[in-house]
Amino acid sequence: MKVEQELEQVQKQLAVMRDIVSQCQKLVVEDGTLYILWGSLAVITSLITYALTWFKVPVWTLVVLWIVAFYIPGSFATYKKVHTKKKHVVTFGERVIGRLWLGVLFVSVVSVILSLVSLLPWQGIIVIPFSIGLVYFPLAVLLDWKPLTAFGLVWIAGGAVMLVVPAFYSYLVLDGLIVVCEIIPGILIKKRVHKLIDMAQAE
Amino acid sequence: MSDDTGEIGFKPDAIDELLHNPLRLAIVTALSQVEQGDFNWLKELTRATDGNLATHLRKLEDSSYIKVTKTYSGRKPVTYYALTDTGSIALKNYIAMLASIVKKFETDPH
Repeated sequence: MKVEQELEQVQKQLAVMRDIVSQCQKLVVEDGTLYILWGSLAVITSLITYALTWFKVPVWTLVVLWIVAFYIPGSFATYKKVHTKKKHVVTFGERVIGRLWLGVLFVSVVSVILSLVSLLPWQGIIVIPFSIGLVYFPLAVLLDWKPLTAFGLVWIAGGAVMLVVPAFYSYLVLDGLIVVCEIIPGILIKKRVHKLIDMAQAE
Repeated sequence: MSDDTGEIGFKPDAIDELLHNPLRLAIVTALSQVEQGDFNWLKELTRATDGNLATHLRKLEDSSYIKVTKTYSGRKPVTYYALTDTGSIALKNYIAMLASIVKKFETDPH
């Protein structure tokens, strides 16, 4: 095969791949939205919790707050977003965040129940970063996905920090972790993919 | 490096014939971007006809490049397709081959 023919063939194949990848990237934008949504709800609820603890409100008030401001809207939005297109395609990000969401929900409910029966202090919330880190880290190592490995380690390190800081500051550390590990990556994913789509359209 | 005949190493035996077909390449590329996708999603993405798409999907399945999962959405049967490890490695090798051709041309355009 002549050089020109070879290159023409290669260019055609690359064009096919570029076209498909640019169409699929729109799905990844949706994943970024889920991360931002999930993280934002957690930060808002956690900040309100932090504020309320200064007024020494009963624990059940905080439980109701988390259920109303975090779990219900978060679960509903995630379910609705995933199911609007789940009939046709499932992305890796959806699967990870879906499992993560269930994992955090399970761990949080268990820690709240334990707190209510006084087996653990209310700062059982410390379990959250450890559990997320312990889900992220092995998953990332298995997939050889370095950014996720780093986030897994940050979550575990954050959990260790929450163990040593005063209980009230645990919520602020948790917020910082959520911003660094969920919201910022979500924004970066969205920006990066929008840029790639623009570049593909320009070509 | 090009030889006297103007070839730059596009050896026919080194080409993955399965992926050299544009539609099959499109299918495998699409499935490499997601966990799994159904027939209608692939049809919309590749703009192929039902018969053509089904034929190429079967070839990829026969070569273990993709795996098929049949399930139900309500009462409606849905078939999901996902890339296997074999398919993923084949795609990586194919991309590496395309890259090597481009690189060879850049270093020796004649």
